[in-house]
Amino acid sequence: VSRGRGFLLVVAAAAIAGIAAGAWVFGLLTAPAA
Amino acid sequence: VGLQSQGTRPSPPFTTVALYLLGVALVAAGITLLFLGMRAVMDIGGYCAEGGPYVIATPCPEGAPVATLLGIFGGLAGFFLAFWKGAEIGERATGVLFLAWPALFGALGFNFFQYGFDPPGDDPGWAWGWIVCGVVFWAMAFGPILLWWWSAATARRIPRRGAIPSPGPAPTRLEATWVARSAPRPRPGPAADPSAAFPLEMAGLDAAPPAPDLVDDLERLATLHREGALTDDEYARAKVQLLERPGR
Repeated sequence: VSRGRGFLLVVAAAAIAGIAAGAWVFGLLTAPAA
Repeated sequence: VGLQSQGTRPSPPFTTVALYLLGVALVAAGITLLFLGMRAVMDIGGYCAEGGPYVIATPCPEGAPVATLLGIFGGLAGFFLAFWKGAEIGERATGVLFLAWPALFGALGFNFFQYGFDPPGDDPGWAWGWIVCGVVFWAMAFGPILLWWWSAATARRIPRRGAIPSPGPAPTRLEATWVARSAPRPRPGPAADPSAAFPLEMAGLDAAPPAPDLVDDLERLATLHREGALTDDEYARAKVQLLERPGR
């Protein structure tokens, strides 16, 4: 993997982790109170 | 860490890279919160209200206003953090952040289209107001990408022969555009020579093309010297050898 492509892969991984975290936080916020 | 974006620049510190990636993740999380918050509101018809002294006809879905606010301000904070730290890493690190724009407007535009073609409730028709919003959002998302692609395609057609030799890695297509555009333009006039149509040649860069292998060798030598692999004395001797090489 070239350095430029490796860099983009790491950034993409961070973005995907952020999407997962955002969806998780949204689930927490909108969960009906028990 | 191996996250170098410039030829000979040393790797940035780990904390810089970690904070940069945290910023990227926050931007993505912010856009996701906005995307999901928007869908929650569109599910109940597209508008809602919360708080205030009035009787509310359509209360907001539980958590959606907080998610939206968190998405906006968290995403902005993430963008500033990533831009700040990315500037210490290199141009590629800051450049990639601008993909957040098409990501944001592309995602929200997708919501407008989906709910516009299939609105909530029993109404079988299309919600034209949302479809129009979708068109506007997607124009905002993908218009800049099309412009960038077009300018890159134009840059490819300009010959690179005689361009200023770059000490770093090969220029990107966008940089090539800038180099070509920043060179003086040919003056239109009756004496204009058809071969002068290319700005780089007008800049006189092509008048005496240097032997490319010599330039490459000199650059490589300068890089080795800069990195400390060659002493001043060795560098000077090797340079003289290069310049006096037979065939020059």
